[in-house]
Formats: sequence, structure tokens, C-alpha cells
Amino acid sequence: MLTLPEKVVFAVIVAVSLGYFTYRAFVLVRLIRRAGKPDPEDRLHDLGARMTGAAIDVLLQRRTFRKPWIGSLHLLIVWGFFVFAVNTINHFAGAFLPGFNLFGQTFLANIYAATADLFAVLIIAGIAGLAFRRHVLRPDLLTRPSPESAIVFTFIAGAMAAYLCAKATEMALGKLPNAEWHFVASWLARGFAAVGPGPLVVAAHVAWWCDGLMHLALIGLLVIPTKHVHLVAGPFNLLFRRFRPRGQMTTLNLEDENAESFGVSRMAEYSWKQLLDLYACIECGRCQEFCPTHVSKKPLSPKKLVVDLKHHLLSNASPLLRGDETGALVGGPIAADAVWACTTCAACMEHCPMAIEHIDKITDMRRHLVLMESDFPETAATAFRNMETAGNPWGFARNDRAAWADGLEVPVMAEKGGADVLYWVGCSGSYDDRCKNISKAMVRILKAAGVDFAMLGEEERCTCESARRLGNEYLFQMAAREIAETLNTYAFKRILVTCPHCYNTFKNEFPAFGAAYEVVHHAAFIQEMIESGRLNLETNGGPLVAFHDSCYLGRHNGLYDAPRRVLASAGQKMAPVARDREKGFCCGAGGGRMWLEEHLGEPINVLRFNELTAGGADCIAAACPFCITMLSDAAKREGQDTEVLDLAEIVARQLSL
Amino acid sequence: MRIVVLVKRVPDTASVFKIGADGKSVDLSGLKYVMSPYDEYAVEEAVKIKETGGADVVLLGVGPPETKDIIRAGLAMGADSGVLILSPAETALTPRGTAHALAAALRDLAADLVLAGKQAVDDDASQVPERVAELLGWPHVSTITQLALSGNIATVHREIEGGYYVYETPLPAVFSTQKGINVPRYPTLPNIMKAKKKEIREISLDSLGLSGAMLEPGMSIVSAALPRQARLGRILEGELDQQVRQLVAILREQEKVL
Amino acid sequence: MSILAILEQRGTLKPCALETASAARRVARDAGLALDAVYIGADPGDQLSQLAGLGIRRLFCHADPALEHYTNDRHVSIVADLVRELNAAVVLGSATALGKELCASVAARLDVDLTQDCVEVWWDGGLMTRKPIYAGKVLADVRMTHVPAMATLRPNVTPVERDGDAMPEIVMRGAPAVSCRTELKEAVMTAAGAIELTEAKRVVSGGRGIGGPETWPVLQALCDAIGAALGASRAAVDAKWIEPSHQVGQTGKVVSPDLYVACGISGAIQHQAGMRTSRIVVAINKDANAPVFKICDYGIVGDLFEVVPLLTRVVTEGPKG
Repeated sequence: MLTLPEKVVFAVIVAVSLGYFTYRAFVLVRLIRRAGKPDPEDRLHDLGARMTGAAIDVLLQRRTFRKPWIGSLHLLIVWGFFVFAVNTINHFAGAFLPGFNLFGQTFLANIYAATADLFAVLIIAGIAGLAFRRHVLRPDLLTRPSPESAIVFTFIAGAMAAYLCAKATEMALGKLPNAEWHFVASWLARGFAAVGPGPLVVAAHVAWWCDGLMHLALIGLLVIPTKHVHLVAGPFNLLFRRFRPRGQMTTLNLEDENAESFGVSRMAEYSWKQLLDLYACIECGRCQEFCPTHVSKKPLSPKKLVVDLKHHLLSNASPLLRGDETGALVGGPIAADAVWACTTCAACMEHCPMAIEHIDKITDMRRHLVLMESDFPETAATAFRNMETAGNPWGFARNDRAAWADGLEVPVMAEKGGADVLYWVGCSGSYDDRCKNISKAMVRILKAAGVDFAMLGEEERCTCESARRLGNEYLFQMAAREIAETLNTYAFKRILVTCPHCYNTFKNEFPAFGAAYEVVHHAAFIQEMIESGRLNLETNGGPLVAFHDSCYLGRHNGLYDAPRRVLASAGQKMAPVARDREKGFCCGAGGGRMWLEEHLGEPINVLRFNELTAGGADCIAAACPFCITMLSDAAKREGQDTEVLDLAEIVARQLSL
Repeated sequence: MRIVVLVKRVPDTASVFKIGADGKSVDLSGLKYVMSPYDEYAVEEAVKIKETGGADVVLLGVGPPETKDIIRAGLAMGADSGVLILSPAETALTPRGTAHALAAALRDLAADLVLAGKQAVDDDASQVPERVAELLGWPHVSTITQLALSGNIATVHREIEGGYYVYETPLPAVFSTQKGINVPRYPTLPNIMKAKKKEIREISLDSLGLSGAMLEPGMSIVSAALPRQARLGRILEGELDQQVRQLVAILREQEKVL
Repeated sequence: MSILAILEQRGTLKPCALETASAARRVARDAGLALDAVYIGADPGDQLSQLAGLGIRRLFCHADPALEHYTNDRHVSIVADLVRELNAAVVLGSATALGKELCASVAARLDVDLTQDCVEVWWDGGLMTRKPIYAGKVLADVRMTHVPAMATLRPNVTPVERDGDAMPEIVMRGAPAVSCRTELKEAVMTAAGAIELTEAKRVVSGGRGIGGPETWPVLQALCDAIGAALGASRAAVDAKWIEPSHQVGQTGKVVSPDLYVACGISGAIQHQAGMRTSRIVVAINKDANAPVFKICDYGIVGDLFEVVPLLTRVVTEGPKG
């Protein structure tokens, strides 16, 4: 129905727009390819699973459905987008080929007409719901004010309204095929019944143009880019998502003579995937909702980190495309405090709908600061030196490591030569008076279950896991190789640990250094002993117990059920905990932060302690020496005498005599 | 400017120590070794001078071949090269003998400034830097907490009980460093890698032309004991007043810390 | 041949000088030799009256304004020359910062061995010394075979013994005619109560038991009485009761004083990591089950607000160390 001048103008607009959009799209893609280094993970490996997963996430909105209302609304918009794709083609082609319809004159075209109308309404409803949430309900995790969001809302809703009006006016002019199938437009068309033919034609053209231009604008909003670009970047990010274990940091080749630098100090040192993450971010804030540093009012918010990096990337697009050096990230767009505040708890990665990998961005910056500049908190240097010389972060005597076991008759590998289970005691379990009780309890359990085990004793040394999280890759690799050498001289079937950090490192990181052993965390081990009948526990109830999920056990390695089953088998009554399992709130010690000062914001451990005891529990149970230490500290700080016990201690108490 | 820093390889004193079967030697088996912590301050001070005004920093030590490990650690902090006077572990060099060896080596090193830690944490001898200075005929100040160079004049703060003295002395001179003069840097990875390629020259004790009398020990350990490896854990009893008096008496007369 | 004791002064004769003299006296008696002593300083005034009854035969008093403060060149020259003049069999000094430097230099000049920082010296056919090595974890008995045998004595470990009130013969001498390469520009004394934490020989720390920001004077009074620096546990710092510069611990300052008094501190591992190398640890806490009692040498179970003032009083009453 367009006039010739209209067609010409439209053709020009479309050509210019599409040309521009293509150009911008190429720039964005080229930016990632030019500035981004190769990614250490093969992002095409297991392509089938990747595509299936991405498809489920996009089409069924699996990740956004963690918040069911939001997920529902967004699902409408996503399906609406797919549904409307056909209409968009029909619309644009129809400018030059009147009556063009992909479905031709078939029955499908009728079904489509109804579907499109329905979705136009659903999309408007979805948009209205989300806009209401953002601008009226104003949840903390959404940025306000957000002109970007307001514009996108307006154009999407506007495009849908324009579509309905276009159809309605066409219908009123009697020019709409399948008119009776456009049930929403039909209803609207009644409103146009009273309008005279002259103004109606004008209205029809206006509606048509609005429809077309708004669609063009929406594509434009994609490639500027605004966060609307997640329409394209998101599915690709989901396709290329991380398949390797979450708790596995990448191994740097420190022997590489050609490497000018290690870690990341400037934008162009991130991998292409890390840059794609930035495009995919929709600033939804789910990452910061459970982030312990953000919740405790520290300057790190994973969302802010990603958004700031994104802005830095885009505002430096020209020099990056030329290959010129851009400014330092830390001290520039990213504050040093933010870099060191992270506990690597992975709440951000767990809840991000776009599978963005926040932690590596931070630890890569830490690596540069530690390895290249020696610019890191002084207290960490003490911990590093102690780990290197004394084999433990506190600097206690190396040759005193087995003293906790005096009088307990704990077999030592050097004397025994081998055993079924190598009991890796860990630094806390060896030296920390409070945590030595965990080791003693574990030994009682092992003996009660008749397990053939031995410990390394003085041959054991710190895994330096926390050093690696802090960025000291060199120290970590030295420790890893040393441990591998020691372990490889003994014969054992698997390693038992009582610490999730040791667990994560043995399971996911040490294999790269020649120590590939089966490792079991004591929660799973004790469960196994109970279920195979090797352990008999009294089940007379104790106090109400609140179980605290450790980040490196839960989010990093998926162990949520084993500790709960163990506690149930030990007859413990469980108190409800507000944030548990995937939403578990960190104790604050991870990411090497155990060795750093906590000056800013509120103390994370106190927040968590109060949350754990809010359900009426008199006892807190955990399965990690760091968590136990932090929560015990918090109890003291709050002047509470709540018991903080390890799983092993609770089980040992319940051992039938 | 050339700065020579005297460094020593010592066992990590966080270890639990045992006495050997002969009742007078310390059982050093299985111990981890480090650079004596006071020497680290000296190395750091030398590297700082190098960074501000330029200098060639040489690390000089006496000891068994394994001493190269701790010299490397110093090179990783930024020193340029090392010299090791090989002295097998069995050679019982007293601090006097060590000083003779170091002074002899220094005569060929054309140093403008010699820095050292105020004492080594294994024998706590607290005399080698002073001896080296006397043998070379150079001025020296020990236990310094601040060093500033202006041309050929060094201005130092030396710690004394209850305060410090400010001395001025011309170079060449020997200074021994006290804790607090600086914060020894944690080496960066590039510096650790570079250190692997820096030269550590080994020279034999014999080549230094020292007389037997110079190396002959004038002191020997006749017995060694472990005073206390574990805390006493003694909780006092009785009336509070009595407990406090008892404590003060113990601290004053037995422990001699008051 | 005689025994030579080096008496250190700084304005006044230091107490450790009298201790060194007493130790030297015992050695001299057992060796069957006389005891001589040397004093180097400005005009001694009536200082020397403190030497009555210590058993010193002759005191060589080098008094000159140029000798008021320690300089290596002059002091070493005086002592080394005197040793040769007396043909001393043993030279004993105090293991103070200056005393150690002096004796090391003298030993080098005379080319004899030297044991620094002894906790005991005695005569057994020759000079025997006992000194801590390996951060105080091992105590070694060392026989000195050179002549003269040289040693410095740790302050505050030797009792001062007097027998009668006979004064030594005073031999007045002046400053040596040697050029002094090292010039003293300034002598700075730090104010009492401002002893720096990491270098302090004694530390008194407060923890959660302090209860608030206004109660530190209780501990500060003890600090002043025993010459200690004031420390704090993380609990007190986190509660904002005191500045972080006082924090002792894993993430605070690491201290290794001779005496560490932990008041109202529970003794968790993070705090331990900052003070575990202290020579003697005293714990005061009202909770008998506090972990700190496992890592202390001496403990008093009680309210620190009762115990500490008592302690301050008793310490101030008795003879100063």
C-alpha cells in the first residue's frame, strides 16, 4: 500500500540501516577477535551438548526461570521475538511486494496471524511487567536510572503497538488478508470504524512506518551496542559456555620464554571468550544479588565489574582495533579494592543467565598484580612466604606437622608404604588448635569404620590453593609438583580430605601437574561408610542444626546432598537456612581472603552467622575448616555461644560405642 | 657504585630442633633453608639504592654449594650477581674465620658499600659485618634503621635502646641492617626467571690465601640443650594477689624478662 | 694479666654495666685473676660511686667530652689498646646494641673469637659461655680458647653482687688521638609510651576482654611500668576500639619479644601466628578454657581489670630491671 515515494524512501532507509548495522556488527565481532587472546578452553568441544544446552536455555529460558515470574515474562518476550521474526520479514518484504507472506495463502498463514496477534499482546504484557519491576518496584539489583532499558522497553512495546495498529487500520480499510484471524487487530479495528477513509489511510501509513522504523531501531539498538545485543551475544555465549570444572583455574605456562607478561593488566590480554562475556551481559544483577562482597557493602560488585569492563572495551574500540596499547585496568576502570575483595565463591557464575565467567576475570588481574608487579596486600606476602618455607600459611614448624596426632596411633605413609586411603589432613587440620579436633574426629571415624588408611605426616605440605586464588601461580605450581612427587611414591586408591579447597584442587587442578588421583571429601566418604554399613551411628537427637553450604563443596563441585544425608543419618534435626545450596552465602574466607584484612563494608562472616542462627539453630554444622573458623569467629564477635561443628565432629559424637 | 651484600644460608628457625647424638650439635637433617631474614633487609636496601641511583649489587656468601639457592633468592629481588666462597658444611668456620674469608674476597670486589644483616638467625653471632669492616679498615655502623646516600657520604640511623643515633660516615663503609629499615620485596616472576640466568661465581676457600691461624677456631660448642620447645602452660593458683606476686618473681628471677 | 670488664654508660652508668662487672668478678675469682674495668664517657661525676663493693681493682676512666657518645674509632681504639696493655685473659662487655658493636670490633682488631649475647659466663679452666642460638630454641655451651677470651653478656640476666664497699683505684685517662671517621650528628630518644611494636622487647596486648575503647589506660600503665609496647588482637581492632597499627596477628604485625602479655585475648590461630615466637608468653583471661592458656608459659585466670593493675603495682614496687 506504500506510495512510490514511500517505497523509495523506505528502500533507502533500509539499505543504509542494514549497511550500517552490518558494518557495526562486523566491528563488534572484529573487536573481540582482534583484542581477545585465544581461550585456554576448547569452546567447540562437545559441540552437541553445547548446542543442546544453549537451545534449552534460550528457548525454555531455563536460567531466567530461577526467578519464576521473571522467567515467565521474559519467556513471552523471547518466544515473541521468534514468532515476530516471520512478521518482520513479511512487513519489510511487503513494502515492495504487497501482500507478501512467508506462509503464502495457506492455512498456516491464518494460524500465524492469530499467533502473531496473541504474542503482540503477550509481549506488551511481558514488557509492562518487567518495566513495572524495574521502574516501580525498583529491586536493588537493577540499575536505575536506566535510559537504555527505558528506550528498549519503549521500542519493543511501541513496535508491538504499531504492529497492532497497522493491522487494525489495514483491516478498517478492508485491505487486510486473513482479517478474521487477526483477533486482536479485529477488536482494535472497531475503534477505527468511526474514522473517515482519508484520516484512516494516513493512520495506516503512519502505523506502518512506525512499525517498520521501530523494528529497524530495535536492530540498531543491538549493534550500537546496548545491552540489547545479548539477543545475539547471549546465545553464542551460552554455546561457548564453560564446560571445564568451575573450580579449575587455568594453568599458566610460566616457562614460556616468549611470554611478555602473565595475567591480565590491559583489555587486550583477556581471551575472546572473556570479551564476549562482556557483550552478553544484560546487567540483570543476579550476580551481585548473592555476591558476599556486594551484600556486605564492599566496592566489588560482579555486575559493576563486567559493566565497567564492557564500557572500557567499547570506549577503547578504536585503539584496540588498531592494536595499540590501552590503559591499565586496575587503577583505571577497576579499583584495586574490587580485585582483592572477591572470595571466588561463584555465586555470580551460578546465577548468571548468560553464563558469564566473572571469577577468571578477577583472578587474571590478580595474577598480573602478583607475578608481574609484586603489587598486592602485604599480609598475603607473609602467607606466601610461610607456604613456601614452612609448608603452611601460618609459618608453624614443618617438622611439627604431625604433632596433632601424638598418641593417636595414626599410621604414616612413610612407615606403612601404602594404604587404601591416603588421609590428607591439610594445614588447618594439622596446625589450628580448633581444627585439630576435626582431624581427631576423622581418625576416630576411620578407625570405627575399619578403614585401611595412612597420612603423610611431615611429608604433607600446603596445596597453596589459596595462593593460586590470590594470583600466585608460581608458588602454586611449585607446590603442586612437589606434592605430585611425594604422592607418586606411595600406593593408595584414593585421597580423603576434610577441606573443600583441598578437595577442589586435588580433583580439578592437580591432575595437570602429574597428581591425578581419585579424591573424596569426608562428607561423601562418611556417607559411603554409613550406607555400606561400616559405620553405625546413634541417632538420639541433638540441638537444632543449621547446615552451612561451603562454596567450594557446593557451587564449585556440586556436593550439596552428601553432608545433609550424613547429618540426617546422625539423627540431627535441621533448621531452615535462608540462603542455602546454590544460593549459599559465603563465609568470606575463600579466594585467599583468609589471609587478607577485611577493612571495608560489613564483616561477611557475621552476616552469614546471623543468617544461619535466624532459624533457631543452636548449632551450626559445616564441612570446611575455613568456614568453621570464620563462623566461630563470628559467634565470638556476636557474643553468642552457638556451637560451630564440623560434620566429622558431629558424626564422631554419634559413633556407637 | 658497587654494593656488596653479605648473605648467609640458615635453617628456617620456625622448625622444631633436635640435638644430635653427640650432645653438642644440632640435628640439621630434613630442615628447610632460607636466607637469614636480616640479610633480606640488607639485600632490599641495596636494590632500593640501585633503583634510585644506579648500582651494581653483588651478593657474597660463605657456605656449602646449596648456598646458591639463597643467593638466587637474593638475585630474584634484584641483585645483579653472586659470589660464593665454597666452604663445606663440615668446615667449622667461626664468625672470625668467616669474616677473614669475606674480607679476603671483598678485597677483589672493589665495593663502595657493604651491607649485611645485623645477625644470622642460626648462630646469632652478631659480629661478622663489624669484623669485616675492621679487617678492611673501613668505618662501620651496626643495626641501622635508615640509610641515605649523598655523593660519598652516608647518613644512617642506628638503633639503640630507647632511641637512635644519626651518624655520618664516608664511603666505603660497612652497615648492618635491622628489621624495620624497609620491607623486603616479594620477587616478581620475571625477576625470578632472570635470576636463574644471573652469574654466581664460586671460589674455593683455599684460593683466598688465608693462613691456617685465621681459620682456626678459638671457640667450640661443648654441649647443646633444648631449653624449651613447648610452652610451659603453667596456670598459677592461689589468691590473686599471690598469683601476681609469684608471676612477677618468676618473670624477674627465673625467666629474666623483667 | 687480668679480667677486663667494659662498663657501658649513656649519660649514666647503665644497670647492665654493674651486671657485667659482677659476672666478671665471679670469673676473675675462679680464674685467680684481678678484675679491671674501663669506663668511656664524658665527665662521670659521682657515677663511679656505684662501683663500690663490686670487686674491681682498677677502673680506667677515659673521660672527655669527645667520648660522651659512642663512636667506633675512639671506643675500639681505647679498649683494644687497654686489652693489650693489661694482657687481659678475658674481656666481658654488655650485649647492648652499642656493646655488641664495640666488642665485635675489638675482637676483630685483636683477631680473637667472641660470643655475643650470653646468658651466663663462668670459668672452667678457661672462659665458658652459654648462649641461645636458633631463635632461642637451642642453648649452647661454648668454650673460648683464644686469649683474650671475649664475650658480651645479655642485660637483665645477671644479679649484681656487692661485697663490702671498697672502691676501685681510678686511673684517669683522656680521649685517644685517633681520627674519627664516623661523626655523630644527632642522638634521638623516643618518648616513653611510644615504643614501636615490632621492635619491642616486651609487648602487652589487649583483646575482646578490653570491652571498649576507653579502657586501654589500664594496659598502658603496665606498658609504662615494664617498658613495653601496646598491642591488640584483631577482635579489638575490628570493634574499632584501637587503631589497626596495634594489631598483632596473621594479618597484623608479627612480633617476637622476650615477653608477651596477652590480656583478654582468646588465642586463636590468627593471633598466634603473630606472636608465637615470643620467648615468654603470659596469658590473663577470665575464661579458664580459652585456647590462649594452651599457648602460654604462665597464665592467670582472672579479670584483666583486676589482674593488670595489680601486676602494674607489684612491678613498680620491686627493683626495676
